[in-house]
This record gives sequence, C-alpha cells and structure tokens, in this order.
Amino acid sequence: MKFELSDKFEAAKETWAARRARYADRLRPAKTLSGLPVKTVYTPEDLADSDLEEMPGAYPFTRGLHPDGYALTPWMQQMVFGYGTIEETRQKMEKMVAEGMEGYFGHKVFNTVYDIPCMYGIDADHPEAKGNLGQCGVHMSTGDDYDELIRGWDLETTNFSMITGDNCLPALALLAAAVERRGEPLHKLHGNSMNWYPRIAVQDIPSWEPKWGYALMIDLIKWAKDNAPAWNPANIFMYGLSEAGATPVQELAYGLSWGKSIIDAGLEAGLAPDDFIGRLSFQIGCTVNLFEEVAKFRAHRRMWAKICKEAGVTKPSNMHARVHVHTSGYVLTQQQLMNNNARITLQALAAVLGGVQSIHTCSYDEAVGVPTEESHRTALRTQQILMLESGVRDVADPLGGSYYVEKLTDEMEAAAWEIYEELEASGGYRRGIETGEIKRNIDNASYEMKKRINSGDLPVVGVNRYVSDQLENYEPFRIDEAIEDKARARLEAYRAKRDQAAVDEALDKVREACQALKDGTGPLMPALVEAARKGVTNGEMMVPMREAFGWYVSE
Amino acid sequence: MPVDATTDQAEQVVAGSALHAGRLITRIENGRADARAVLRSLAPHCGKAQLIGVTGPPGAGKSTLVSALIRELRGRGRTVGVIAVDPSSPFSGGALLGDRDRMVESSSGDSGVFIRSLASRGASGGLAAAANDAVDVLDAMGKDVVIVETVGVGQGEFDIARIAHTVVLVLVPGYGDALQAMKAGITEIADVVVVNKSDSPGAEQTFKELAAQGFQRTGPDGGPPWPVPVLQASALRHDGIAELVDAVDEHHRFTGRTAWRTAHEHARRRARFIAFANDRLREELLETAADARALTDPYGAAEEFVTELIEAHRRLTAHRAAGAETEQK
Amino acid sequence: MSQERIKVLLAKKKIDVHGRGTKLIARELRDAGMEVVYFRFGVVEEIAEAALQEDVDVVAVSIMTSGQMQVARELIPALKERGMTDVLVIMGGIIPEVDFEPLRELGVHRCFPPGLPGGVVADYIRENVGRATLA
Repeated sequence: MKFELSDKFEAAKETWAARRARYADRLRPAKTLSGLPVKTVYTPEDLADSDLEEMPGAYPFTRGLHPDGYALTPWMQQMVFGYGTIEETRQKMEKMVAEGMEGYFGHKVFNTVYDIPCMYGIDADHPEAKGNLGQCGVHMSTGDDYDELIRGWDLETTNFSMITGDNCLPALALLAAAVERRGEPLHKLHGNSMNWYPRIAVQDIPSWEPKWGYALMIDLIKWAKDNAPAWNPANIFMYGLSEAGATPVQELAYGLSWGKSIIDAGLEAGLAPDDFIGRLSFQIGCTVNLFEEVAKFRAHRRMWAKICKEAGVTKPSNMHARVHVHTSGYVLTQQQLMNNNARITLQALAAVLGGVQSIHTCSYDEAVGVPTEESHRTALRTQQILMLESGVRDVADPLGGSYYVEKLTDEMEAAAWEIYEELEASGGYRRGIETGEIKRNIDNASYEMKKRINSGDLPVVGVNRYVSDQLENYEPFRIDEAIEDKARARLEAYRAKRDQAAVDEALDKVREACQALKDGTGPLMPALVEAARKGVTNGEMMVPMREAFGWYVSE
Repeated sequence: MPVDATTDQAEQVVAGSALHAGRLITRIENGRADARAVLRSLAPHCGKAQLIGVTGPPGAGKSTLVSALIRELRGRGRTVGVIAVDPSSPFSGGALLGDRDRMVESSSGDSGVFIRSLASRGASGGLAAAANDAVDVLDAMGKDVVIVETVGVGQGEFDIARIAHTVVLVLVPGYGDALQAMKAGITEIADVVVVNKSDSPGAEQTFKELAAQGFQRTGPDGGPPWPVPVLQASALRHDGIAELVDAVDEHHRFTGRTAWRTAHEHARRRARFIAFANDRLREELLETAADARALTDPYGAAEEFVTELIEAHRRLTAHRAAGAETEQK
Repeated sequence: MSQERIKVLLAKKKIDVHGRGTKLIARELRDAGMEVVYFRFGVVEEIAEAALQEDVDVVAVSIMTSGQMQVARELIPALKERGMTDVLVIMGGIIPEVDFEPLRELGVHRCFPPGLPGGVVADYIRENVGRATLA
C-alpha cells in the first residue's frame, strides 16, 4: 500500500532522527520470540508492500473470519477440564455451566481431557495405568461412562470436545453408540475429535506407523462426513508444536504443513476439497509476546486460506481457519504463582486481538498440577473480564492498520512460508515424521530457548529475574489415589454385566475391519461403533488396532 | 583387590548376578586395575556366547533392529546380552545414551535380557574401549547371544569385526547410502547385509542393487568363501527378522566349522594381550617415565626410554634362556 | 586410564506425552559431562532393572502428569531389593513443593521444581553423588 507521504513526513523523520542521534547507537536491538528483528518505530513506509485493502470476513481473512468480528457472538470459552471418573467430571461440567462458561450464542461447550491411560488406550486394570488413572484427565472407557457424559445435555446446543490421545476412533465410536442409545440421530452430534496423529512428530510416545496413522485419520474424517456432518473431525494441534519448543514462526509453518498433509491424504483418498477441508480446525498456543502472537493469528488465517484455495476449495467458508487457542502452558512458572495471572491475561488478550474463535485460559497453578476450583474459575473470569469490561470485543481486528502489526504479519508470513516450503519440498509433514526432521528442529529450538533463559538473555520473572527464596507452599488440587480403585471397580462392574460372547465377536469384526482398512477394501469406524454397541471398552478396541497398525516410537 | 574378592566377583558374574556384572563393567570403563584380575578369572567362562555385531550409518534404525532381534531370539528361548555404544560429546565429555530406550519393548521385565549402554569416551572410531571386555562379562554371565551395537561412523566398524563372530551391516534405503557403503569398504567386514525400513520408498531399489553385487568374504587359509546374504527387513513391523536370525546363525555355523573361528579367537586373544599389556605398561612405566624425564626433546627422550626397555627385555629373555639351558644341562 | 563419569538414568513414563523438560534436563546433564541413559518406563520395576544393568550413580525420575508418590513408594524398595543402596534418587517436573518433604520421607533424596536454570541439577548431583544412601 503506497501512502501519499508529503514533505511534512520527511521533516518529521528528520526531527525524529536528530532527537535520537545522541543515544541511538546505545539502544539494544529487540527481537520477537521467533527471532525476527523489531524496530523501535514503525511508519507508513513499512507498509509499502502490504495489502491493506482487505475487509474482515473476506478472503484471505487476515482481518478475521466474520465481517463484524465478535459483535455477533464472542469467542467460545472452552475451558479444559476433566479428572477422576465420569462422576467427578460430571459434577465439574455442571459447575462450569453454572459459572457461566459458554460457547457461541450461549451454547454449551465441554472441552474434556482424558487421562493418560485412556489416551494411550489402556483400561483401568492395566499395570501401566498405575499412578496416572484419573489424574490430569478423566478416565472414560466404557459405554456407561459415555452415557453419563451426555446425559441431560441437549445435543443440538452442546459441543463435546474430546481431548483424546491416539484413541480418537474408539472414543468417537463410544460417543456415537451413547447417542444412539439415547434414541437420537447422529447428525445432531456437535463437537470435536482431536484426530491428531501427526502430533507424534514431536512426542516421544509410541503411536501408529505413519502410513496407518494417516489412514486412520481419514477413516474418521470420512465417517464423520457421512454420519455426523456437524462434527469437527480433525484438530491441527499446533499447540503441541509450540509446547515442544517451536517458536511462533515454526509453530505457524509446521502447523500449516500438518494441515496440508491432511488435505493431501484426504484428496488422495478420493474426497472432494469442499467435502472435508472446511471441517478441519486448529488449536494454537499463545505466548506472552503480545504483538507477535496477534501477527501470527492474522498470518495464519491468510496462509491457510491460500493453501485451501490452491487445494481446490471453492466455498469461502471452507477456507476459514477456525482456531481454538490454548494459552501456552510452557511460559507459566511454578515460582511466584500469582505472576502467572498477568501472563494468562496477556495471552488471552493476544488471542482476542488476534480474532480467534475459542479460548482456553490456563490456570495460574498449571505448573503445580491440575487447577484448583479457584484457579480454574479465575482463568475463566479472565476471559469474561476481557469480554465484558475491556471493550476489545467491540471492534473487528482492532490492530489492523497498525504499522507494526501489519508489517510483523507480513514478516511472519514470509518466514513461515520459507520453512513450510522447505518441508514440502522434502516430502511434507508426513515425511518429516518419518525422518525426525521436525522433531530435531523443534528440539533444537527448545534447547536454544533454554540456553537463553539459563544465561538470562531471555528474562523470565521469578525464574531468572526477581527471584525469591520463599517456598511456594501452595496446596494444589488433589485427586485422591482412591480414584484408581473406583475406576477399576467401575470397569469390573461394567464387564460383569456384558455379554462376553458378543464382545469377543465384535472384537473379531474389528480385527477384520482393521485388515480391510489396510487392504483398502473397507472402513474401520463402523466396526468400532458396532463394538461400542456391544460393550467393548476403549482399551479393548485399541488392542487389535495396535496389532494391525503398528505401535512404536518414530525414530 | 585381594584374590578371594576377585574370585568372589567372578563367581557372582558367572552365577548371573546383574549387580556384579553391571559394577564390573563400570570398573572396566573406568580403567580400574582390579577389573583386569576379575576379567582374567572370567576368561575360562568365556567363549560360549554367539557374538553379533550390528553396525551401519546413522539413521539406519540399528537400535530398533536390535530390539527386533532381541524379541526374535527370546522367542527362540535364547538369553541375550547387549552392549550399545553411543558417542561421547567431544565438548563436554558427557553422552546421551538413547539406544536402550528403543530396546525396552522387547525386554521389559524379562530377566533373560541384559542391556548395557556405553559411551564411546573419546575412543577413536565408534566403539568404546571397554566394549570388548564388556562383551566378555556378558558372555561369562551365561548369555547365549551377545549383541554389540556401534555408533556406526568411522573406524568403529572395523573394531566390531574384531569382536563379533558375525557382523550385521544395517543400511537404510536410499541410493546415496548404498553407494557410500560400497565406496567405504564397509562391506568388506559385513557378514550379513540388511536393508532396513523395507516399507520405505527406495528400499526395494537399494535391496536389488546390493543383492546384485554378489558380495563374498574370503576367509583365512583360502577356505571356502562366505557368500554374504543381502536381506530386507522392517524392524518396526518385525518383518524379515526371523530370516535375519537364520542368516546370522547360518554364518555362525559356517565359520565355526572352518578356520575362521580359530583365527577370530586367536585375534581376540591377541587383542586382549595387547590391551592388557598396554594398560599396565602405561600405568606402571610410561606415566612415571614421562614424569621423571627431561622432555626438552620429547622424541629423543621417548627413543631413549624405549631403547632401554627393549634392551632390558632382550637381556632378561637371554638370561632366562641361558638359565633354562643350564637347568637342562 | 581412569575416566570416571557420573552416570544418570533419566526416566519418564512411556505413556506420558510430555517430554520437553525431560529432554532439556538430559541435554543439560550431558553438557555437564555426565552420561545420561534416557529411558521411558511402563511400570516402576523397569526403572530399577535398568538402573541395575546400567550401574548408574543417579536415578532421576521426571514426573509430568502426577503419580510421584506411587513411583517413590515402589521405586525405593525396588532399588534396595536389587542391592542398589548407594544410588542417588532425585525427581523433577510437575511436583508441588508441598510434596517434597513426603517424598523425602519415602527415600527420594531431592526434588526439583520445573524450569530451573541449567546447571542446578548437575551441581546438586556432583555434590551429592557417592555420598547418598537409600534409607
């Protein structure tokens, strides 16, 4: 955008230069967290190459997905919760609703996180589940558990987001069977499957063989398209990348590459672009670097829209990058816990100024354990204060037109395209999983960042600045270890009332369907839904799946 | 260390004590003189284990392949010891030993498997100096098979050929890798070649190229050559692993029937002699000599010292021979 | 030739996805000249078995999703049972400070909060290795 700048501006610049001549060389140059250099002042000249003639709600959506931003409906307050058995989590669900947690147009949103054993795909009685049952997530593995999850909630106006691990297909199958048991049609199902196999690029846990990981993802996407079209069948978990150490630019680049790999897999499997791409969604982290994060969200929407268009998407709403922000946990400290409130506020503010669709705010005691009731509520209130007291909700893309933010948006986009294109040229995200390239680059970034913190170059208040000797003595939220016995008892009781023969038969069918998926002759999801109807549990479903699709740590 | 303690140590290792074996290996790594005495006591118990060396370029998936081998061998009722070597950092001297982590799937809770990670500690090549002796400890412990896995760069492959009965070369698919392997002469020490990650792009191609080479290894004494089998495997899927173990066993039988085995054993004994003598000479003579002498001309001083030693040894040998003659007379 | 190195078994639960902090500690200890066996365990017994075979000086357990008390309760006896009575046992990660004392009572020598500047853990190990006993 070429501004018509007059002599007045030239004169102003000269005065400015003269005023700072005395100290200019003593100024320490600043950088964003991604390492992009930042000047002290930005002017219209910086936007000479920028496109400022975009409106919110129009391709490529830099300024937001909707013409009036949050005026029509604010972002969803999608707080993560979940611990113990479904009984404890149910109580929490009801409490959160009473606290005013809401989604679009006052709908309910339940962002439920599973415990590690469920995510991994083992039931309560497995020896490796010990110590982690019901901790940091809910243990939900039987038909009874899922019946209880949906009991009493109106499906049309309730969003069930399930933070699974690799047990995405079993979890969705179990949910579908529960909906059926209630006598409701599946097309009423609203919510989200993580379906995030590609996260193993940065995680050191066993998972599927890449070929099958992608096949399973597509299987879920196809099933959802045909049976539960309102369901969001895949979440591109950029948050995992930044939590593992990716800088904001890396998070952007690798996240888009992840999305592209799903697009490629879907197209390869014969899906039409407008059939599935529009239902993909994103989950992104957000650090305390306010303007960098805003620029990131803007660049992200722009870049994703371009990728979608190139992939053949025609309907504009299918090019929307629908974003849920989970404020970055890794920037929170265990030292001087209350400091985290300031961090979380800045993070949420960045997300709102960035125009995202949904936010989970972490709690100030996140680095100590599962949030207490108070810290969880405070995190929710932070969003509500932003929404109702600050006025930031009133204007769409309020930082649009800022010389700095527009320039930074362009720069982040350029830096991210570079990494993106390099990865695509060497085979894309999927190949990156196999070679370990993504993991290496992100591990290195993590290492570099830690070195900077160690040296004090990157300040962290309470950790390398303004350190206090005082012990925190903070009593975290405790989940009684007796929960383990409770979870095991629930499982035992459930198994006792099942028709074991029907369970065994259903598992055989699952085994066959796994083979059919591998042969390319049939889907897997229907067999899993059938198994769910017959009482097969989460862990039990994963057994034949692990046998068929490989289960190991990628190199 | 008093003799009875040495015997006790050795007995414990032979009885299969992981505690004593582990500690002994540590003492060997640390160059402890007392470890040598124990190794000497263990010598009669060595020689039963089948020694397999696994080498290859980084990224070939050696650790995962070893993991699959362990699983296969255990399935056949054989006990396994593993020495896994990782490089030490040239800057800090520390090391990240991550091989064990890849092998756990096969071995958790299974007392028939003993895995020990070693850092190369600056040894030139990819193998730790302690590896040779560590293998003997696991052998003496009674393991049916001992696998040594190298770092896989530089001279390590040749060190491993001296230790292992059978050297398995693990390659990863890719035109470049196959060429590299051939140029580097690595194939001269490989008894079995495996193209891992058989499901990857390029695997089939690499396999065909290598299989077409018709590698052979000629043994000592001009005996029958060993045709090097080229195999395909996917360690992660446990494909081709049974065939790999069969090929390794076949090689072991083949060399056992010929002069290969005796030559190999002799070479190992020779290496032990040199290593042990080297250690003692350095500790007891060399370090002191270096401290005691003027080193303004270090080359000259070294020449002088060595000439003295050789002369002293010559005289001693002559004296002993004369003494023996006298006795005979 | 004596080249003694401090050897550390750094364990984290296999099924737990969080690994960033653990990997950083691994690198930091390596940079401090230690030999670090990075290890993912399924059940606690495996930690003791690995520690035995590797003959480590230090067992360091990384906790990211709870379970610290259960790990300590099982690990210490498992180490003692195997005759490893002089190994230094430390824990770190997401462990609330109020648990440090109860863990010490179970036999864990020291707990570390997350995000520590590098070198703190290495310094502690250097000062205390070889002087620890499992009570």
